[in-house]
Amino acid sequence: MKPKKEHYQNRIELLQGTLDMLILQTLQWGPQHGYGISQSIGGRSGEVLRVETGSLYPALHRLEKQGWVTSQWKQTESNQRAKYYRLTPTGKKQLLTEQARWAQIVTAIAGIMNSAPGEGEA
Amino acid sequence: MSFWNWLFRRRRREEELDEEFQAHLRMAAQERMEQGETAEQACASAVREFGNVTLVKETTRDMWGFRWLETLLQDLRYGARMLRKSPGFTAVAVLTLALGIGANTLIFSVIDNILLRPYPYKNADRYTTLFIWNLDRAGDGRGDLSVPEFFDYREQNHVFEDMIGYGGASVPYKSIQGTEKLYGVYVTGNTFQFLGVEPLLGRALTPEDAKPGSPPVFVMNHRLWESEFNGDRRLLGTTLILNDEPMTLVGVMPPRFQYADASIWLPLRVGRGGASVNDANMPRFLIPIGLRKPGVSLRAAASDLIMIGKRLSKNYPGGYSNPFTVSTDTLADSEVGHFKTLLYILLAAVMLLLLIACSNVANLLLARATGRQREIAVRAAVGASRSRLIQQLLVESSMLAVAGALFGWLLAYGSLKGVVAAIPEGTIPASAVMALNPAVLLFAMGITMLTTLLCGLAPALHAVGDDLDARLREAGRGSNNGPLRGRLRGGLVIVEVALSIVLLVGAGLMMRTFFALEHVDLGFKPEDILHAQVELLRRTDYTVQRQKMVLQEILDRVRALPGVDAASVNVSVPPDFGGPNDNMIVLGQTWSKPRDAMFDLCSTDYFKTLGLPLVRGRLLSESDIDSARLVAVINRTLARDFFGKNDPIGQKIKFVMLDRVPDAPHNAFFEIIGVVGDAKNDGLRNTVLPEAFLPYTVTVAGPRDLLVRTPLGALSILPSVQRAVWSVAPDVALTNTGSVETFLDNYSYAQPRFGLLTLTIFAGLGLALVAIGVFCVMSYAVSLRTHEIGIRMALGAPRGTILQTALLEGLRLIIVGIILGEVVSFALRRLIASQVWGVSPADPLTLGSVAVVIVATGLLACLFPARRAMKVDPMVALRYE
Repeated sequence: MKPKKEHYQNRIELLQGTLDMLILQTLQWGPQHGYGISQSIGGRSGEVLRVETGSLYPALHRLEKQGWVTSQWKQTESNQRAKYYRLTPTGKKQLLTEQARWAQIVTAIAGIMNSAPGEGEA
Repeated sequence: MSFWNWLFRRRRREEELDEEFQAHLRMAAQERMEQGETAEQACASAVREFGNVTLVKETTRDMWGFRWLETLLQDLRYGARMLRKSPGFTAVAVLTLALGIGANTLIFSVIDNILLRPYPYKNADRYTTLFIWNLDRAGDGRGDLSVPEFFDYREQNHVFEDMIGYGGASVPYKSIQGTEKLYGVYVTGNTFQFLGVEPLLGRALTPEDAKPGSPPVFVMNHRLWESEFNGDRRLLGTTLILNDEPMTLVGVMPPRFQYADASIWLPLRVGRGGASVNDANMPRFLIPIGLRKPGVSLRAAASDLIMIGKRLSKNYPGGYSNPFTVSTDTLADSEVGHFKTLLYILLAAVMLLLLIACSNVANLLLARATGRQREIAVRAAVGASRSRLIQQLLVESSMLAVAGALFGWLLAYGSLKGVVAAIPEGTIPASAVMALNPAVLLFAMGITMLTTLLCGLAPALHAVGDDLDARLREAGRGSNNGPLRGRLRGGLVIVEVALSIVLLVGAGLMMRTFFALEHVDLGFKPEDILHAQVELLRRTDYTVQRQKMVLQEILDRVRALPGVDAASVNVSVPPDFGGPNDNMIVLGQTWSKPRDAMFDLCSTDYFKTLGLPLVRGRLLSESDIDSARLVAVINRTLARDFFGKNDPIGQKIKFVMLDRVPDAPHNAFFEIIGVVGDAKNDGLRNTVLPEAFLPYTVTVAGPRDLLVRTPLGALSILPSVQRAVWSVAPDVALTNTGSVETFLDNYSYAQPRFGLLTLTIFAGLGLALVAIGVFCVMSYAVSLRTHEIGIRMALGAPRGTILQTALLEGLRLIIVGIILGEVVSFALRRLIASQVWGVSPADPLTLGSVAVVIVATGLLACLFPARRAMKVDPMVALRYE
């Protein structure tokens, strides 16, 4: 079992821990089921980010165990039963921390990437 | 939360997860259909996009926790199904492991009970015995202390928390029937507190009881209470006449309490001044036991005792030679130390047996793993990770090990009684209880886990080791017998053969030792001789003259009994217990170092009773005995060692020890009148020591041994001998009775026989396992090559050649194993050397015959598979593919 996944070459592998943040962010707009979450992340990223089910569902169950989301069976618009996940108050707090952390990372990385050559050393 | 509750909720979540995924797939398919795909296309792409449903489920479930338990249950179910499917394999594997684990449990429980916890006493692991060695004479010394000396050591040492002492004496007990002797042990007042064992009935002895002038009391052994007094509780508080004195029974000890092997325990009523020491009934010497303070080593204890000894040697000059030393030992080692090496050798033997069993099962598992490669490859292909597969295979082998352990414990439990019965009498403390206790079961569980890893790990790693894709492709096409796998199987056979060689060499050496011991020339005829120790009462109204007369009369009456060929009194029981060994002086000769010889105090018929041939001069005559003449008969060794080529007859010798015996002639030289043939007098294994035979009438000191030769059989004459003795003196007891042959058996043959028996059984089991192992591996090799053999035969290879090839293949492995095993045995020869006698531990005959046995067994085991190879029908073999 060699971990070769060549067919994902032109998509971006998510950073460790980013998936949790993306899920929480998505659920900010209201309860959603697993398929909806993956579609939403794909759509908002212009199909650049792609969430594998093998990561999505373990992440959802993990978040639920941590108490950041809860789940409920509901009917979809097309009248199907699906399991909807919803953000809890602690989940909201967690999302805020994650957002702040993400902003820090983005600024830090942008600072490095945007600096002119040689500027850093001067 | 209860287990069922948990299980129920688990199932609900499982169903929900399934539903969640189904919903996902439906929604994905629907969206695709809305984009214009057909229903079939949409479903297929949705599934493809979703990925491996089972794997996603498993990783999701991981998030719930308790996943390991679930997979374990799953593996157990699966394993049980696999094992049920091949009952033959399962039975062989379980029985093989049961033998290995059972033998280990058995021997460990013997070791645990004999060496590690033989006593019921408090802190018994710190009990320390001591021995004072006279360094001016090899092997000479004493383990007892005089009563004042005991108190000196007790007060002056810095290494013991406390010290107790005991002295044994036979105590006459006047019952309604007559006088009997009980083995009584006088103990210091602190003894029962020290030992910390609660009495079964009444109370134990206290320091108060030991104060001079306190009322006489005693405590009884459980065995005596049961056998002689029917376990009657009303006996408590009654008085018995012991030592002609009424004494009150104050307590009965529990069955396991066997301190100093006494029947009754009495307080040693002496103080520091030792006022009662001169009382004839009290022991004058005590065997001490100290309780080492925690953290004090045996060596540290010894050096402290040596310091005290140096001071005491000035006060008690007779008790210490110059130079002297004091050695210490644990109580357990001092009592069972001689048995320890043999037990450890047996432990090593059963470990070897377990290794053989493990390699056997490993080989079986390996063969099975090859048969199951397709299954394993498929499981890997659908997403089972490598560690998951290894875990599953290990669960399977641990199920085998646990089943083996259960059967093994049953085996051990069943055979423990047999082993205990085979342990020579008197080699272990009476208080040792043989049972499978928690420590033993813990050990067995450890062994079981080790077994799982030993026999399961290599096949499991191997099964999932190389390229699984390739295997999936190949597995369909039958024989996939990589060279590596074949080598591993062959290697295991080699190891098995080598291990069993080591076991067989051990058993072979024990056999040779036993044979050598049985063929030792004793120098006398041990058959049909009764032995009994005669104890004259040390009563103050018995004069030396009176005691001599009593002995003489006993001897006369016994000799006159019908059926008695010859009878004698002396102070030895050949071949194991000779007379006193002491400094001997030859008149007119001097040596740089004092030299020792044994002496025995005999009556005229001693030589006739044992059958010792006269070589020169004459034997002791009636008149020599009657007048206690200063004459001596010597053995050949004494004549050769002390006189060389000179004629010993007429020479005069003196034993220094007699000067210290009050009623013996002091500074007396005995004239040598005759030389007799050598008879073993220092045990079977040692060379004969120089010995002189003096008239027994020169002194009455010490207990005397009665030897009676009779064609009627030693034990059948005992009652009439007893009656004859009582008709002379009703208060003389015969103790330690038995036939000389039985003594010989107990002391000289019992332990080697035990070693021989146990090692032979283990080696035999090892050999059987090797035969099974070789058989299985060869059968498997032949079945793998059925196709190849078919082709060869179709091309015209004669059946004989096929047979030969198959046999040679097996033989090659066996020969390599034999060479390895013989080298290892040779390297390990020192380990068994202490148990081997009369043969070299690297005995070529043993090494050779063991190799022959293995080759014969191995060929036999190869023969059936090889014959099957020969009978392969080429048509069938080729069509089979």
